[in-house]
Amino acid sequence: MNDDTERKFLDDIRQTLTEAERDLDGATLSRLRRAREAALAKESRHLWNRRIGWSMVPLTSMIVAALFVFGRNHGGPLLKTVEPSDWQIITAEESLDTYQEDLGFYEWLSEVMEEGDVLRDGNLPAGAAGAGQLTGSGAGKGADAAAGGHRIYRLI
Amino acid sequence: MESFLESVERPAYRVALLRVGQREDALDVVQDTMMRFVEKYSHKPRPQWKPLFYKVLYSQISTLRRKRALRSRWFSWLIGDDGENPIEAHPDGRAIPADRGLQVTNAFSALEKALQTLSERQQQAFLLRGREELSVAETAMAMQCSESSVKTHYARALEILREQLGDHWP
Repeated sequence: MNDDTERKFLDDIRQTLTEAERDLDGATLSRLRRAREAALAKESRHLWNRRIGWSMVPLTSMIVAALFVFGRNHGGPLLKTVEPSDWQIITAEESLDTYQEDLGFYEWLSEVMEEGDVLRDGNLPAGAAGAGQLTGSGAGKGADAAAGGHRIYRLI
Repeated sequence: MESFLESVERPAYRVALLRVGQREDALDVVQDTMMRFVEKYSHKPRPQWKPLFYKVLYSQISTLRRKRALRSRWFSWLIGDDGENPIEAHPDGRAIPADRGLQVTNAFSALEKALQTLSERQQQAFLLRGREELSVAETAMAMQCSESSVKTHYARALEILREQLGDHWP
């Protein structure tokens, strides 16, 4: 089949099909119209929902940003800092002696630094004689050392 | 979108009727196709609408035929070797033979018979390329196959139709 013959053959087929489509009965055309209208109504709902969805994006972003900024600035109800209560400290697993030992050390150290004494053979400098008295004495209150009347400065 | 759907509804109905053989089923297929097309592809660029529409249409036709085959198998399982086939005993009164329910010319009648001798893929390729004048690429998109397959099916369809319709058609 050459090109011209094929072209004519196809043109005839298209024309035949087009005429047959024009000759569809009224009931069929009515059904097709209703199907088309239903599909278009669905598309309208689709577009409407999509517009609503996209319009909510800037509003939602603003709300989130506002909450974030408000929370940072005020730290009020949005940011609740939890401080350990006395009860939590008392019931913590670590022994209170642990803290007091550390405090004792630092207080002794501050005394050494203040005095400028050098440890000799593990002997404690004279000013630290009362270090043992510091334990359990209400650490962190900064009391004067009993021995030598030296003031112990809190490092903490 | 409205003008597009209006332009394809009649050819789509013809294609569906050719494949499913019953008017009501063909109308249901076209309606489902329109709904699905609008839902899935309305946001696509306009030049892609036609091939995508026919892709959905052929998918819906295929789904309907599979359902029918399944129902037919289920009924034959129910009936077994006894008794009559309820489908055959109570034929669907809505089914209208193609050459009576439509106001067709002899040419269309002959064309329709010839198209029915084609395989499904040959028919698709011919209607999309020959009737809708889609490009090879667009036809491949609608048929979900390669361009070389489209060319093969189309060439074979043209050959068969020529043999069926002869030189004195229309």
